[in-house]
Amino acid sequence: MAGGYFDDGTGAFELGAHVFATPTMARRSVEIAPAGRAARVLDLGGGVLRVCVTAQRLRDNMGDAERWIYDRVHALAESAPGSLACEDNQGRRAVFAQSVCVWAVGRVRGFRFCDLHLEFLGPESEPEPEWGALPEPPEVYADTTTAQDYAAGGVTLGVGGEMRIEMTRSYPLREIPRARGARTRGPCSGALLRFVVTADLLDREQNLASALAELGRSIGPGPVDLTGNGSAFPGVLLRSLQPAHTDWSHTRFDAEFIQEL
Amino acid sequence: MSGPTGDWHTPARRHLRFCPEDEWGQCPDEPDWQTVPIVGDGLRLGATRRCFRPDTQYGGGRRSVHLLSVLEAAGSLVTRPWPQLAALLLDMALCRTSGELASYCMDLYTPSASRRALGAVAERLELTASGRTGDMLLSLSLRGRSVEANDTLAEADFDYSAIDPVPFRFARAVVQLQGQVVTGVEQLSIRVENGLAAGPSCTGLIAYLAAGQRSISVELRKLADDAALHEALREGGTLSLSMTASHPLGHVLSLALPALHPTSVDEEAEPDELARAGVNLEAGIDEAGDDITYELTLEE
Repeated sequence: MAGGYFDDGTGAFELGAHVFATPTMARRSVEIAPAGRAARVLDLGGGVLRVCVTAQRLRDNMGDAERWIYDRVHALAESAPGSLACEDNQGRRAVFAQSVCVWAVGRVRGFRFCDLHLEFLGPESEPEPEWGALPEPPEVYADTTTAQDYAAGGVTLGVGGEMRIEMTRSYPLREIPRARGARTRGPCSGALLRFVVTADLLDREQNLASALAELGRSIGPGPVDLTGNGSAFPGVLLRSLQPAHTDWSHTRFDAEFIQEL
Repeated sequence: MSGPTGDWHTPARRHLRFCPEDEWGQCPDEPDWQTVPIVGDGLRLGATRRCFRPDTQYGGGRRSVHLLSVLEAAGSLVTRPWPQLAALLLDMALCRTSGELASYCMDLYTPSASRRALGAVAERLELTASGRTGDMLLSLSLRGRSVEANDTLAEADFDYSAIDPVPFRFARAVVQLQGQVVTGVEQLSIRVENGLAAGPSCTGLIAYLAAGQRSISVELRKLADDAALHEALREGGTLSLSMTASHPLGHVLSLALPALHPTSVDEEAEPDELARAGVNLEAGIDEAGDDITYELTLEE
């Protein structure tokens, strides 16, 4: 059994069937190296863990995988400090207390494999909480497909699209002098979600630049619904529409949408 | 004693025919089939699928996730420049309409697994002429949209009667470099790369195959009997090369590369052999904008 979950006290939710975390510890100090005298290192105390997490799960189809990612990212974006728990393939467990998720990016690979990368911040010397119960993954989301039919406000976003979902928020930690720890402190910033659809614009009638500009204009300035693969993400704002072409994929573009929480 | 079972067969019972498509990936309603002889084990056209595997130990010690996704047709065809086929085969790789290559529907008959490849486009063409055997080979590397079973095919569908029994041969060809006849050519290879770009996967198939910038390279291996190649390389100029092959029935095939840039000359001088020079050239374009041209004259 392997997996992981996050629990901020309001209810645990699972993070995947394969979850591993690699913590980086950082302690602040002041280094003084005056000319002609011995160097000094002054310990400022405190200690912060930056935990990078990879969370993966196989789902039924592309839309189902995107919804699974969205639900995890959305829940993490609104979560309070909580326990980040992961279990490896040999059943060995690790739990990081008082962790806050500050960054996430998830994409679907192979059309139904969720690949979620998360970054948590937490204090160094918190006692490790008890392992809780591993929540069950959600059922298959109804009406989801692998149609790759992304549209924003009803405007089709090219063909062969794929989407990645990102989240950022600020949640500062106050380091404790003369101790190996830190406390999460508020206020944290509200999270922003980014949806980046990478697709190909096939237009044999006009220059690709004109087609791309026209696509941007037709989406319009206000919040729209981003739909695709049987899911809908309401109230997103088109932030940018940019070419992502190479010699080998000259019709590719990125459409970036943001959503506030 | 038990023998082989199933639809075992010899290569002589494998046949190929193809026709140009009006719309990529769609067999025309009234196809104009052309049967193409396969040289030896020269047809490797089949389906391929991209496979995603997690790059982590997802699932533990045994790999449990293999996600087969986009279907594509890919493979190669080796044939010879038969007079009635040469134009068709060369056009597959050289002829562009509005910047795009033509696509073809290909039927492959085998007694065990007949199939149809749709949307086949020539990714690469290589014409190899060997002075030792006197033969010429045309090798095509193909990519296509999809492959499907075609159980309606029968051996009787493949008719070779319109093709002359003898192809163009290098033994009856003349190679000219800068307008001068070159003797002692052992090998001449002309390679055309079309730089195909595959579109994104879209509901299990690739969305398009777009032709990119064409690059043509030439390898010429001959006796090291003059300084012309070295001189051209030192001076950094261009060379013109042409090959004219005549057929016993009067057909003539001429290929011309008007602006070749020599990039290197490799010499071999084994103690018990005549010294040879191998030159590598890259094709540019001449004042008329041509990198490679061909002319085929068929005798009625």
